[in-house]
Amino acid sequence: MLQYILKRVLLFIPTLLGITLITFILMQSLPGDPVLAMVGERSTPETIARIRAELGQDRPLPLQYLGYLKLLSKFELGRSIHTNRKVADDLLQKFPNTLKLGLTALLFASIVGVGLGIIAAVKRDTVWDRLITLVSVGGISVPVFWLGLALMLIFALYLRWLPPSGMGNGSLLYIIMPAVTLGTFSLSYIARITRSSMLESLSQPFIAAARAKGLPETSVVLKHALKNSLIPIVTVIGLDLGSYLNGAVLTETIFGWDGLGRYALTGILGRDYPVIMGVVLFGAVIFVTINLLVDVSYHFLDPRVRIKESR
Amino acid sequence: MRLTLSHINKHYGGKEILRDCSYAFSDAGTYVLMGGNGCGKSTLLRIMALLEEPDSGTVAFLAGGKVLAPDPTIGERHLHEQHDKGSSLDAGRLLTPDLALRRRITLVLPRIGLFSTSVWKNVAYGLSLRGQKGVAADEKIARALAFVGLEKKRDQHALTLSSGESQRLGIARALALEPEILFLDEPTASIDEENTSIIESIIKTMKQEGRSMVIMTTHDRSQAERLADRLLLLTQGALQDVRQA
Repeated sequence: MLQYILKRVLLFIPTLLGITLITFILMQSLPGDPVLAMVGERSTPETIARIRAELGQDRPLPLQYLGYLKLLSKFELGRSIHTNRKVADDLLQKFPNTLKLGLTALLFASIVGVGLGIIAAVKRDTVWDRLITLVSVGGISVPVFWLGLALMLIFALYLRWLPPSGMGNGSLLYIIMPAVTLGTFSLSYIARITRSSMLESLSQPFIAAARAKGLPETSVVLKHALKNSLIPIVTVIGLDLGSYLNGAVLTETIFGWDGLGRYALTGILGRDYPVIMGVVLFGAVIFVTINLLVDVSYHFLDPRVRIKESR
Repeated sequence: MRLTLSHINKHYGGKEILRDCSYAFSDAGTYVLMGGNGCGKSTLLRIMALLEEPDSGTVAFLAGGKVLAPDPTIGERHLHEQHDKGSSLDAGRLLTPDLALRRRITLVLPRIGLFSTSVWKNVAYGLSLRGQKGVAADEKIARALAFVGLEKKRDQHALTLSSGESQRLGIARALALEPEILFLDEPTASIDEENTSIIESIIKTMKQEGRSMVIMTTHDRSQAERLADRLLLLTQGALQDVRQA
């Protein structure tokens, strides 16, 4: 197991190198000039050339890329073109907000999604199953920006139960709407996956055997069937967590949540290359780490994985 | 314990599987239910083992002068004791009446559904559900494993057993529970001749020792002839009593 984790950690390095190269090439292919975006189109060619030289953008592209790699080797991500603040400092400041929102959204999505999925599977082909299917198809189909605005309209404007936006110095009321908006898609998807995975588990011979041996139905469902359905559910939750921790651009923008998503959007709109590179790289590290954690969790969730490893 | 089926009907996707099946399993011994593939033998066995509900009709168990029958008003597989509506105690645990009844019978399926653990723990599972642990439970497990000839494989991982051994382990798992009625669904399907003969001799020994009422299905006519005290035939959804040995 330890060897496997070590191997995966070593694979991080080429993966991250590949990501920096692809992001760098993509950014250079984008229309627009960060220097012009910074100084304005009315600046003199001398000023533009001076700033371009200060930012190191007058050098050939391979040299610019190598310069960035040199920076990375010192565990630095450069400075924002616009604010001159260290990108790493900004990321560390905004990540806790994104983490808080992402974890809350995922907790909501996992608990409600798995619960609905179990009910739909156990009550297969009943009105409950159809109702849950309807709700989850709706949750998958509804656009995030629409849901966010609709919740804001209902709960903030009409009912006045919740604050419309902002972070409220840690007040839990402020996180409810962004978390529900962000988590609804995952909730629906998790409910669908849980249902199909549970149905497959419930049709397995060991479930019939457990019933035939006199196991109470609650234990059959929650202990045996759910445990054996967890691998696809955990995979989806892991992928969603990785995606949430990269920043939820739309949700954070709609609700004025000061997280990585909003930071990334500001960077993209201002052609702030160090910010974009920093956010992408940071996101990639998180994504790869969570994928590794999900893979490791299989070892604990599924005895068959352990048997294969020991053979 | 006696078992009575009354007017059992079952459909799957509009297709009639069982049609007005009625029968009283009243004497100890081995009942063999015969019929071609897909004729509904396994469905009928699952209904009798209370793992599936009929569309209509009743499954009633009679024991100690009491009738234990399904109550359609409660819903899926919930039973209650018509003469004694209280809960039952099993090894000190309070059980709902349906679960208490299900724990007096057991079914061995053709796909055994072994648990991913040792042979010993597979047999111990049902007993531990009933709160039976310690020396008495160990003795039951050892006896069941010896009965099916798997005592030397007690510590082996169950998923590494051959098909025939898996089937025998399935029977041991059921025997350890000392069920009043043992249902065996195609116990020798897809296993070799040697294991078939071992399992047949296990069933014969059970009959000689009068351990439980055995109700089994098979599509093998000669096997049915060898094992049956009573032979039942399921054709086109209807159940017929063919022969008493």
